[in-house]
Amino acid sequence: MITLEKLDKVYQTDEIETVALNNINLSIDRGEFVSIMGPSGCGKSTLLNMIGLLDNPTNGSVSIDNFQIENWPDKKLALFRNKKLGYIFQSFHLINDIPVIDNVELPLLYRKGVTGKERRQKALDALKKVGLSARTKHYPSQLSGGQKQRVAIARAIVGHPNIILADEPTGNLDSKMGGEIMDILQNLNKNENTTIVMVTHDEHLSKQTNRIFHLFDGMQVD
Amino acid sequence: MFKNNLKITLSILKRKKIYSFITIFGIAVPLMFLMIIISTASHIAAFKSPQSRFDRVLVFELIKFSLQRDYGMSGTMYVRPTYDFIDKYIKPMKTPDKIGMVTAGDYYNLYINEQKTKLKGVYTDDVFWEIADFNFIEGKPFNKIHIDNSQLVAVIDRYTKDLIFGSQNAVGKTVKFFRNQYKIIGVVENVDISRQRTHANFYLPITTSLEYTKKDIFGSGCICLMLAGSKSQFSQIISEFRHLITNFELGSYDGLTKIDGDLESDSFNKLLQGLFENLFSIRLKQEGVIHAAYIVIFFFFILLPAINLLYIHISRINERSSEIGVRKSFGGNNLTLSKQFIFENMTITVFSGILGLVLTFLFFWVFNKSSVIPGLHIVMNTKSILLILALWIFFGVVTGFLPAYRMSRMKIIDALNQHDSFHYFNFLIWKAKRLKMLLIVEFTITFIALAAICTFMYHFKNNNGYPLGFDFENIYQVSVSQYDNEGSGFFGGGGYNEDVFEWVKLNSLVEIYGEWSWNEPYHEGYTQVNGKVTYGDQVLEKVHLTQTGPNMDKIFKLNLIAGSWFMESDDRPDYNPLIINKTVKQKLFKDKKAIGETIQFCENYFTVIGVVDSYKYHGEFSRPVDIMFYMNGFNNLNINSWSRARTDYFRARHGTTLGDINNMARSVSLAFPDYGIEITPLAAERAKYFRKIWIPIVMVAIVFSFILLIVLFGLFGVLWYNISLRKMEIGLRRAVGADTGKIFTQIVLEMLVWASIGMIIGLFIFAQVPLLKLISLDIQNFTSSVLTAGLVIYLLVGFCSLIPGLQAAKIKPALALHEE
Repeated sequence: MITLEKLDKVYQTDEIETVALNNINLSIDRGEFVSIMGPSGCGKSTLLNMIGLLDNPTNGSVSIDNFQIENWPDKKLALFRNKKLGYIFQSFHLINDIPVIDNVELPLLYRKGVTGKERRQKALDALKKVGLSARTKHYPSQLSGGQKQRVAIARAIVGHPNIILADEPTGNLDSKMGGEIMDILQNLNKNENTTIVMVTHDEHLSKQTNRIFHLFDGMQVD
Repeated sequence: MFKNNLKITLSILKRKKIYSFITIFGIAVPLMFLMIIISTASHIAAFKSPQSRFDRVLVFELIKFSLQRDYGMSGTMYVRPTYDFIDKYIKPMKTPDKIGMVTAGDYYNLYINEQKTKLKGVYTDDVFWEIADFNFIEGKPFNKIHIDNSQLVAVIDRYTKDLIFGSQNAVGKTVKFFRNQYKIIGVVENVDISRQRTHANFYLPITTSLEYTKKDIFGSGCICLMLAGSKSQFSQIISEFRHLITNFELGSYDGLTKIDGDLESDSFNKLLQGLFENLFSIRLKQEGVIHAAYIVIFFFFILLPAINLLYIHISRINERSSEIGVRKSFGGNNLTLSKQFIFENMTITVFSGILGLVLTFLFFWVFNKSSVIPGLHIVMNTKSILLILALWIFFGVVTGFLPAYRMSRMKIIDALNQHDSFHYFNFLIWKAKRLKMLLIVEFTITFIALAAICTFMYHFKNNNGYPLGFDFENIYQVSVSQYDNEGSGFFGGGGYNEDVFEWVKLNSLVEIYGEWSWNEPYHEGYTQVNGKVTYGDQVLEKVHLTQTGPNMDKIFKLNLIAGSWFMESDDRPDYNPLIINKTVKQKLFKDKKAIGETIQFCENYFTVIGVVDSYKYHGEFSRPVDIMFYMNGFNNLNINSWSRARTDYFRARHGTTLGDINNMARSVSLAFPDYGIEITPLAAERAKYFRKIWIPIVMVAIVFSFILLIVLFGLFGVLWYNISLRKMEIGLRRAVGADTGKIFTQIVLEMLVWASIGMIIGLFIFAQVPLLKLISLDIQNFTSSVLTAGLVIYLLVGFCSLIPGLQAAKIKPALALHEE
């Protein structure tokens, strides 16, 4: 489902060249729950961004669902992200100026043919799945960290993407909250056959996934 | 999508109330000022009826005579060309299509139902009506036959027609204007006061005037209008005119050594000069001054607001970079995001524009209703609306569209992590050094402007501390001028009639009556001794002089501190009594007694008979001057006079009302119908005089308040931007132990340092005014003004730094450091 071949990412400034990823080859099947582990600065998030089509590799290729993603125009890429991918960030990245329900509806706004009513219903369903039906009118600033991450998950799943990319989803939460978030992700993986790629520092969490992909200094180590 | 974008925009505006307010007002207020300036300017400059063809008109308004005459009238003089001069020398010109003339205007008091109305009348020739395109609502203009036969016909405006005839037709009826009964042959639509070549309440054939048709090139003159076939013919007309002037036959005119003159079109600059001169008696002589004004307007009213708002917008959008990242992650493409942010910024611009428009309409509504400038009714025309629209779009694009467009092109990762997002605006924003420079320049200019305003204020306040020296309550001023006075003009005599004054003097309402010439209370201009005033070794120059008579001390309650006032018996050929004020006494006599001493000026000897404490004839806010009073009837003096001849005053009997005085003025006007007679309370003259002084000062103060407002917006925007840039630094400072108070103090202090640098530069520039003696300022005023301006700026900086400073202080170290 996801195939990375000879992937490099080099950050270049006037004076310094930093190799973030070096010759990464990775294949993830549909329905797999893969965790990416490694020390800080080893390129975990960079790799997730490549998979999530948030950033372009310097060399190599990314293909998802047999689509070779290379030099796609912005519009096509945006549509692909919208339909196939869902993101969960460590710092939630909720829009503070709009209420929870509008935050969750966001991906559907960029999808053609979805009426306002449908959007609202799907967002309510997604919030129900993460146990936040009672907080739809709240603003993100009125929620706890765990609740914010649930909203972020609801937003990630509202468009029924095949793949969810989670960048340290429990990094800003205590272990109890982290456990709850992990349960939600496990359910999604098992019950809805959603492919999940998760970056984590936490070995305890990574052990709950199907496969662990280790990185060190931008290179694959397993 | 529209609904959704609108929803997001409104929710963002609602949640960030202070920033929304500042952004919306930051656009609305400069737009309002621009709209007012543009609308007023384009109203004044528009070539509209009756001046639609004036873009093709050249105006010959002033003629320069160089004279050498035996009886003292020598030098260079600028006067209007007379009817005779235009008729003889200008009318034969070949290149203009038409040559017409109109007088500058004279005032006539019309009494309707015991109510006096002051009307402006002009004399014109027949061609004037062919050059101007008046909108006739009744009848027609006068023609060549009327002019050639000096027929007593008149054209009046709608205002005059309504005043005299109400809803009835006016054509065919007769009305007395000046000295004659005129038959009305036409009624035109009212002409706005800004159409200065054509504005009047009534129009009379020039050949019916005695004053304007004197067969001489010296005398009361006209404005000559030359209509060209097209603008391209201007150069030919000017060349023919130059040839005519340079080859003028001087020989036949006594004492004339040279003549010169210019032909000019009614450019906007010239109209502006005219308007300023009419309204404020300020003559903007140099084109450079006007161009400098344009630059100042452009800088302060367009460039600065645009730059300031740009910073506010960039900071606002930058704060939402994470949101942009999220939207892009979930499928928002560049186009949709551009659309959303442009929509937001355009919504803000539209809100601001509507607010600006409402404020502008409100301003003009109040302005037109209140008749601040009577006769000036400003209407926003298409040209000005289009210009305003262009500026509106300019503000929208520069301050909203470009940042939004650039931000929508941010890389998702950069947006999510807020990594160095400001580099997306490098092409839009000024680098830190240049930004500080701009801010310092803003402070410098604001400081100079504030210090200048404060100097005026302190100057007036200090002057007000000196005693006025006379009373103005229950005193009435009597001025008389003969309508269409044959003898008036350049070398003509006065136009008053002793009988009129005698008539007033004998009225039962008058308690004490007196006569005054030159330097009357609350009159503009001044009269000075031309040369030195000496007493022994002591010499005084530039001493003001007034000519008055008995009773004036009682009418004005002058405070005589030594000697006595003039008496009837002082009026004898061998005796020149003189009264001086306290400052003249101190300067000439020091501690010695002045009474009975003789002083000399204008080759005559005068005996001091009295000393008055003070007489500030230019009112409470003027500086005391050295002034002397001498007795009426002594005219053989060499003086430097800027004021007109005789004005009489009387103190009315106790209990006299303004209505009684108006009745008296009406009855004297009926008894002397050929004279313009004004009996006005001195208190009203005082109010009128102060209005003339205060209106320009208030206008300057309003403009500088606006500039101050712009600087405030600028400070706010730059501070906010600066804090957005320095989130990590502030986070770090907090992390290593700086408390919120320290962060707040640091932000405010930084701004105070910038302000101080700007003010030091401003002080250096402003100090040149007293150092180079550009304006006579006393040092105490200078110091107080500088200190006040400094204090105001520090307070404003403190106020502006308050919100961004608190915002900075609230930054959470962990969040700030994590974001970076």
